[in-house]
Amino acid sequence: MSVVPLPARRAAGRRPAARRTGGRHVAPYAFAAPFVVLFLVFLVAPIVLALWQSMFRQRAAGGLGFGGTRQREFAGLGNYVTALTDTGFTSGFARVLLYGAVQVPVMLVLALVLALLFDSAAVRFGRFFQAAVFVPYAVPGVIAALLWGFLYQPGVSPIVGGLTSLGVDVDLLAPGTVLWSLANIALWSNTGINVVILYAALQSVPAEVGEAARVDGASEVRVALSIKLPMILPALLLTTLSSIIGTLQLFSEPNVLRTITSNITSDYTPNMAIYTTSTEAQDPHLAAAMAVLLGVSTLVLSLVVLRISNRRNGALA
Amino acid sequence: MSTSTRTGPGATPGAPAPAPAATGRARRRTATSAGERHSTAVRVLATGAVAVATVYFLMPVWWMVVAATKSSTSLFTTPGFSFADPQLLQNLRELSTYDDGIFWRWVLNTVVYSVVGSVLTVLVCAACGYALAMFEFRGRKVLLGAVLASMLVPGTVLAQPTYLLVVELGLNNTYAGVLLPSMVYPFGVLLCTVFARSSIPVELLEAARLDGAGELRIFVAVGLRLMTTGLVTVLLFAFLGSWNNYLLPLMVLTDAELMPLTVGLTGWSQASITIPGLQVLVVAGSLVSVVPVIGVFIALQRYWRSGLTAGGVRF
Amino acid sequence: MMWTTRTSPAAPRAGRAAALLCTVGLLAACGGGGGDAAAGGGDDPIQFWGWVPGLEEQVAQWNTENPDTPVEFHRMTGDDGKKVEAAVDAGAGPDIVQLSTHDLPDYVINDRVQPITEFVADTEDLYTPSSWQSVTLAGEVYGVPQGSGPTAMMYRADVFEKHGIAVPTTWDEYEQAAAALHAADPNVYIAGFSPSEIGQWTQDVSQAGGTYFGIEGDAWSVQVDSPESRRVAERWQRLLDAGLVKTTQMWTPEYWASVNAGEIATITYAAWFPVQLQENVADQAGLWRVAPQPTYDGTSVAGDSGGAADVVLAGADDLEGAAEFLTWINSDPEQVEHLISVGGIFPTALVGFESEALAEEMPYFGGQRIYDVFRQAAEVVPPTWTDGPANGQVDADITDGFGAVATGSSTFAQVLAEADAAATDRLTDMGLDVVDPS
Repeated sequence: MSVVPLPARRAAGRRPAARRTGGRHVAPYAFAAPFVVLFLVFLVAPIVLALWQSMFRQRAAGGLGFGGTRQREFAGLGNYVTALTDTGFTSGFARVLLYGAVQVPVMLVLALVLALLFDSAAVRFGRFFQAAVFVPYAVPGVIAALLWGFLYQPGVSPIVGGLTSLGVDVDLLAPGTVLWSLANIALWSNTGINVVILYAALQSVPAEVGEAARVDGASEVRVALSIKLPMILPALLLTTLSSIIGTLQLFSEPNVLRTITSNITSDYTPNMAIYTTSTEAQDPHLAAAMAVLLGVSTLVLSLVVLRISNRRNGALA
Repeated sequence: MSTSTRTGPGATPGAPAPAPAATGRARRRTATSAGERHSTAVRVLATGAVAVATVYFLMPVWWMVVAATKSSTSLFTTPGFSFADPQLLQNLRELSTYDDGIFWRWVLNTVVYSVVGSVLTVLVCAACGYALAMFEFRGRKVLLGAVLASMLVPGTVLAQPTYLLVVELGLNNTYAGVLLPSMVYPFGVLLCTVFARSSIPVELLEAARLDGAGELRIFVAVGLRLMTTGLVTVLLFAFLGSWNNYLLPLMVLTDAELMPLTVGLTGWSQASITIPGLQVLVVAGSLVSVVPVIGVFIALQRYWRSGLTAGGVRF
Repeated sequence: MMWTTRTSPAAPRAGRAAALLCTVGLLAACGGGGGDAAAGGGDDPIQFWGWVPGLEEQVAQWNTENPDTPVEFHRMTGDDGKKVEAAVDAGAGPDIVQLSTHDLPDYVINDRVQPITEFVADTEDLYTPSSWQSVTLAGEVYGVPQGSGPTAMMYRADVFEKHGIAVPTTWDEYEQAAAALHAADPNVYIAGFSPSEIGQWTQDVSQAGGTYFGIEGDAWSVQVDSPESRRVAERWQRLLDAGLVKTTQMWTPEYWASVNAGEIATITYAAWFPVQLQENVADQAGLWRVAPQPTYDGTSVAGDSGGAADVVLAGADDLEGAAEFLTWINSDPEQVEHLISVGGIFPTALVGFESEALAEEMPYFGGQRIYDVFRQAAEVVPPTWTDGPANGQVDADITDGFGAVATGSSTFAQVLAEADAAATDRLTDMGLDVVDPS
């Protein structure tokens, strides 16, 4: 499969001098072109389109609205005001932030502990366990939510059934618990990939670093916390950022669980509110404004995390 | 662009700016020398802790395995974690024949989207990363900045405008309509840039040029070859990203013959409210579709692990 | 913005873009191309999206008999039903779609449908007056009715008999029976409460003579919160507060497990529900019967959970062909029989009432001719229900709110008031005139 455009190939067939200089000038553009074209068409253009859409609205000219009186008009920031004053939408934000504030640290600590255990080589059958931990990541998100849905439903869930027979009455889909049941699905699905990344980072920490400390009498836990951990901060930052972005985007899992519980509303997360607004409420313009707001918040939150970590760790700048 | 809500670099990459090129390959320790440090008690404790975690991670999978062998009447009437009159073969036969065997068409489609898609994604990313790492050219900084910034843009929120563009290009309800948008993978470009910088010596390229080799040839014969380990990592992430993709194919595709497994099985699951027999097929189908991915992952374990170690996580 | 204008044909632009991508050697699927999807010739088959079981066979039969007007069918299963609007707006929608008639006003206001009045006006007499009414807005006909949802009460005859409780015929008796049943057996509830099952709400409001919307001259009135709907709300609130209904989300395995366990004594729902009961609760064959929906004062009156229609969408070219196909599939005696017996719909075509399937004595219901009950119900549905704009939003607000009601953090009355206010705001935002109900 060829990844190079015709001009470069043509240049390659001419005189050696032309090939060297000409090829070298054209080559980087040719190599970058496929990505750049796709990037512009399928990432930049949708962003521009969303911004554009978000500044208009459709309005009928009074009456019942029948008979094609609908007109598109400039709304300025009107859709943004509507979105920001929609308590359903804003409380969805608060909800995912609360969710993220718990789920992300829990997941990262679990992933880190597992990665450190694997790295310490104290674990027998390490390869098997590593694969086992990663398995959930191979289950697509919507399927994972379906599976857990079966494990949450009273009446059919062996977990709920087992707990009930032990005298523990739980409702995993109750208003207060369903958010954490969702967090559990994300924990289950995504811990594996974070273990893999952190473990790989730990493996690249030179062995001598730890040895020196051990010679000085440092305990294994101390080596892990005060020597290895600082050295894998970049990887930790990467996993943190990915997790935060994933948190704000939360959609598939609650959308699937919504079919089994009424404690997840149609605007439970910002992304669900966007989806509902564009489908049920049939307002693509308002939905676009909500999408822009979600995108901007993600960007801001990511930058904040980056800024904090930069201050803590100059090496990242 | 990925439209899944999964976290992790496979779906929603985010990363800091790359630091200067890594100076060399990471040194690795051998497991045995480190393992001997630990007493038996520590080893048992550590292994026990990991085993407990493993039970958690495998429990739903176990439920899936068990459920896939049940009849639709015993699915919810028998204990979830233990077998009851296993009839896996019969379920698989039904899975293969329901709706004229559309399931296997979905498997094929998923292979196209994931395998073909991720290979193409890797080539696109590799070419761009190679250009960013090995050449000085006008616009390089802008491109690198754009790549970094775009990694922080959440994918799902763009589903609707992306769909409009796909329609405008006449690509709705085609393979290309799903493949092309999911090939935009900025994190992959960043990884490839880092890999290229750390694994391709500039002198080698100069030597090849002096030998009279064309730029394309150098890229394929020297660049791609030296980047292989890292490319497998990108391949794995891109594969899992497409594998997981739901919202975009749902919107772009109409014909059941073009759908990937995620959309097809979810559709069955939604239809199962009126066709109860479908529930078992959804579970059996999920099992069938997850097994090969786990296989691929384990088979490639050596590559992606060293790929990540070699530079993917050292920015 | 080039991609927001839809005046120029899409195909050439797609060609340019594809050529561009092919140049850089990217488009592996160039050959498998998107060209045909964008082309809009007159000979293209009519695209038809629907969900009723068995439509495939009917379309196949049509295609054999009418090779000049081919129709292509696509089955909607769930989420993909939600993309119809986006597809139509993007210019990629089908020609015909099966739609809940509750959603039709929004489609008309947003220019997503085309009137087919001139092609179907003379077929009005083939359908029930109320169903024809539901596809007619401001004098134009936008589709052909395909089914309706008259309501009756399915009940466990054995359970009532066992406890010596009479099957209720009025809502007062229903509430008394609810208390008596639950007292006799704490595991038994008169009914399930499924917050998300909007059809069970609209059917009760419809029976009470209420509606979401009204038309007052040239303006809408919002009646989500009305004396009629509050009357229904108060009954549900009393049952819920007394713990006499079991909150379970309908259609989930949990729900069916509950019905199978004999916890639910009655299910009040539309005519298409008995088939579902039969499939999902096979073990209780012979135990169920069907009675008219309980009434307020003994005067025979029933609700309707909403109908379906096949409407012709904005992008369709061959309106005449589409109208001809729709009339055939929805009124030809053989087709209507197929829709009833295979599709499980309750007919809107008058010829359907002669159907053999509707006259069947069903062993599952102890040999009862259950559709007689639904047929009588269809005749006594109050003519008050008016579909209006933003129906989807009202449904979402109500189901979201009912979720909170089920857990005790809100009340039915509160939800109605909030949904009513939100609907009024939404209609105003849409540029429509809203007046107080007269």
